[in-house]
Amino acid sequence: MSAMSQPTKDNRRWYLSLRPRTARILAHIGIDGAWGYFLLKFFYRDDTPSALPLVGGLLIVSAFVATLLLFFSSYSFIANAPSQEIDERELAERYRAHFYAFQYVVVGLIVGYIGLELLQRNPQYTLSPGVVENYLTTMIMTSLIMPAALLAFWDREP
Amino acid sequence: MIHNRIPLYRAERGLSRKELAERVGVNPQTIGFLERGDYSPSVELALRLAREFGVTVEALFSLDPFPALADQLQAAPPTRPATT
Repeated sequence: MSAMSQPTKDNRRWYLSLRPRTARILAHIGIDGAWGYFLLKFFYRDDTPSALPLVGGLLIVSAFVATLLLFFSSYSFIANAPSQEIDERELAERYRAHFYAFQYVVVGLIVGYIGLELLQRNPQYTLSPGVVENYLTTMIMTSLIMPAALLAFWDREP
Repeated sequence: MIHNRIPLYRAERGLSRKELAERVGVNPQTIGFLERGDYSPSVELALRLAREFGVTVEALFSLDPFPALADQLQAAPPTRPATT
């Protein structure tokens, strides 16, 4: 009986084959851009005359495009493909990536929960549903690509 | 860390990483990770590699660093051409 994962299909050819460096740049744009957008929206006040709304728009659009590209890359394939289609090293790395992504989600939820509690206790601040929505959008967007991003960060240049 | 002689045997057999990867059923990148010592293979993959090269697992993998080839050649007695 064979316990080792043997790739049986070659479905990865349908995915974008990115160099590790390119994937890392995309991951940075996706994750940093999404968090940058959230922070900008969080601290932005309407009475501040600036081009910040435009910057925020550019951040979220570039983050969305980068996330989409990374989502259709071979790193995302490794992160989400059936076990039979990747080899034992990729499977081990995937387990590690999902474990760290899980920790990221848990920490994100705890920080979000504590943040909401603290903001609600502050009488000078009115918590709007938009802030919560933005936070959840950022968390979902970054969590979805986190395993693929981690795989890209751990990969080596050929 | 597990030390290995995969690059040596692969070069000796004239195999590319891709060819070796196809023969043992992994991706070519994994051969690179194995050769650099960045990944320790499962027992099954180690056995597959050893079988592919026709050597024992101990000849291919070791917990201690393998002696350099130059040292081994110097230590070996000189061979004489066979006379008839």
